[in-house]
Amino acid sequence: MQNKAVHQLAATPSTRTLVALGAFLLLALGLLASLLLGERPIAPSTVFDALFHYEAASTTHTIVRDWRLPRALADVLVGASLAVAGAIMQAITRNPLASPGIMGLNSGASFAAIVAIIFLPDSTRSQLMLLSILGAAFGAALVYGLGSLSRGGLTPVRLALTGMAVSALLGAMSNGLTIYYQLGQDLMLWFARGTEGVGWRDVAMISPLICIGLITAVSLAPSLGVLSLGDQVARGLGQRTRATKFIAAVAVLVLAGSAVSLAGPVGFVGLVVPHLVRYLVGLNQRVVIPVSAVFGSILMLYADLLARLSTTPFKTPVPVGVVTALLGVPFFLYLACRRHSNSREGCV
Amino acid sequence: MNRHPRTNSAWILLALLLLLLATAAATLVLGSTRLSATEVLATLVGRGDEMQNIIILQMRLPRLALAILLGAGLATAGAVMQGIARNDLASPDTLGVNAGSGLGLMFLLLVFPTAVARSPLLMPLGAMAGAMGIVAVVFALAYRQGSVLPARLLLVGIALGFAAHAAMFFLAFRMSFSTYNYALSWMSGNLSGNDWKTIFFLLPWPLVLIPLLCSRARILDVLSLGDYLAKGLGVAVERERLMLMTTAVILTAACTSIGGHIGFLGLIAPHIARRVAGRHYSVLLPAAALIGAILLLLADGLARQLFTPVEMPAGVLVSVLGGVYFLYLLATTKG
Repeated sequence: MQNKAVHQLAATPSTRTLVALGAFLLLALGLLASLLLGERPIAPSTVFDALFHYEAASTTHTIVRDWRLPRALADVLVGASLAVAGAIMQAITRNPLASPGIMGLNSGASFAAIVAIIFLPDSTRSQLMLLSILGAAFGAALVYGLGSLSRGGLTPVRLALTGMAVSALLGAMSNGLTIYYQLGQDLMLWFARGTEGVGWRDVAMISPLICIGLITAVSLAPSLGVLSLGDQVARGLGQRTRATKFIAAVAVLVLAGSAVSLAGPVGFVGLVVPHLVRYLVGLNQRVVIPVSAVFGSILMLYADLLARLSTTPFKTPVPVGVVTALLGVPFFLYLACRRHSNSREGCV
Repeated sequence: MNRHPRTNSAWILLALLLLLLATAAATLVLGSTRLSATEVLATLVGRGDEMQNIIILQMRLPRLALAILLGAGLATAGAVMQGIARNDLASPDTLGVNAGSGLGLMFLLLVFPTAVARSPLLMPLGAMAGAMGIVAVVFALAYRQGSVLPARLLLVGIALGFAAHAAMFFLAFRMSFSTYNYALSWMSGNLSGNDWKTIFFLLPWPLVLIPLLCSRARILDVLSLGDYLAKGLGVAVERERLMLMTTAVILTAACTSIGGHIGFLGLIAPHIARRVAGRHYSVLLPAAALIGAILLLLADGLARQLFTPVEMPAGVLVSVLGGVYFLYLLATTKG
């Protein structure tokens, strides 16, 4: 029993090296595969040429350089930000189900985007991004605020229920706005597009924000580790918990908001990855957060690849959100049905 | 406790019935074409002109009937589900029933579009298959060592609801433009555009199943005491629960297959009914049915009045109002 606890707290250096090596291998493979594969496969030599001896006249080169490369980078950015946002949220709330999708960030950001498209049609792309972040903050504030208002405190079940209700509410309001302003299904399709059609301009615009968010998260990691022991312990150890939480919340909103503005709402990455990472490398937040970023990128890359490759057999575009949900729902079920969440105390 | 249960409850039900009639009358009079109360009455007894006949008999009356059937069905099913799960937050939404019936319906529309067009009777069946499938999985996953844990039931229901929504999303991409539009209108709970024929398809389900559920009110009362006591009082707990849940799910699926996704109605109507009529199921179930019908009628009327040039689906309004109420419930209820 004690051995296991020690193992969970910090993985042995050899495990850590192994995980890091495996992660980078997977990431490199995923990046390579997403350049090579798609609706039609492109030969490795052509991809190499496209990257290093670019010819503007060649369509294949343009596909590699202006379509597949920015899309792969966007996947990496989105996956990393969602996973890190989830890791921070789980550390702060000490709630295993906390993640951008369940905490209402995704639906808040999409709602804000719809509002912006309707009421501020002239807004530039960067204004739209800012609004998405504000929307994410709005959704999260709703879920967290209403959840903590309740008498029993914010338990996992309550979090899930509040999140579901807020998502349904914002979804219905978006639906109503779409119908009232007769925007049709274009908007719905726009939200399901994932990272498809992301160009260099979008990546260039959003990557600074995401980088700032990620750096903040990594530098916050030691404080998060202390905070995950509980507010009282953290305060007893001399931490200014309120300041830490505030900075962490801003980082989460920036990360999740930018991710939504780049790829639309993609669920479950922020839920699954931190759990997986903690299982692999232990509970030390200084390791968990950067590793989560890498694993989030990997998950998103492969999910997007799978979505792209299923397009041909299914004859329709498969939204990447559907793939992540397919992976994420069984995991959510596993979390919900775990042995120790059986007890009434743990769950309700 | 209720001191004069029988007389009190009769008055409550009568008052709710009158309220329902008043709401129904109001929705018949109001609308984009203004008709006076006397004109409406004249049309109803068969003395209206052609225009009035079309508006009242072919447009407003079917819509009214649909709203009442749907509201009553969803609310009764929700009340039964809350009784079985012994959790006030159980409902067609939180147990994944709505999402499941949507998925079944979408699947049917996608795979057998011609058969569905020929016989709309298939639609409730498709929705039922989807709903029953998802509920079976939800209960199987929440079942551990002889009992169903309410908290896990909700978590699992929400998770599978997510999954079904994702799958619906995927199916929506594969649909032709018109089917997709139909699906979208279904997902937002649009009551308009139904003629008497579709209503007759729906009619038998609530008409049979709501009284059936109401006749089992006693069993629900006993079940609400807990498995232990219920068994001691001689109720075959597992069998009754299975039978009640199946009936409630079939009712929900039948309602949603025709009327579309009306979020949160099956959750809030029983709550209001409990406040008004107490916790005895023999009163609670009919009260919930009446309140559900009133709520949906009101929402449909409001949606028509507030957003006049646009056909705003009632489901959108119900989801928004119901979502707010649900959040309020979450914040105030304990455990």
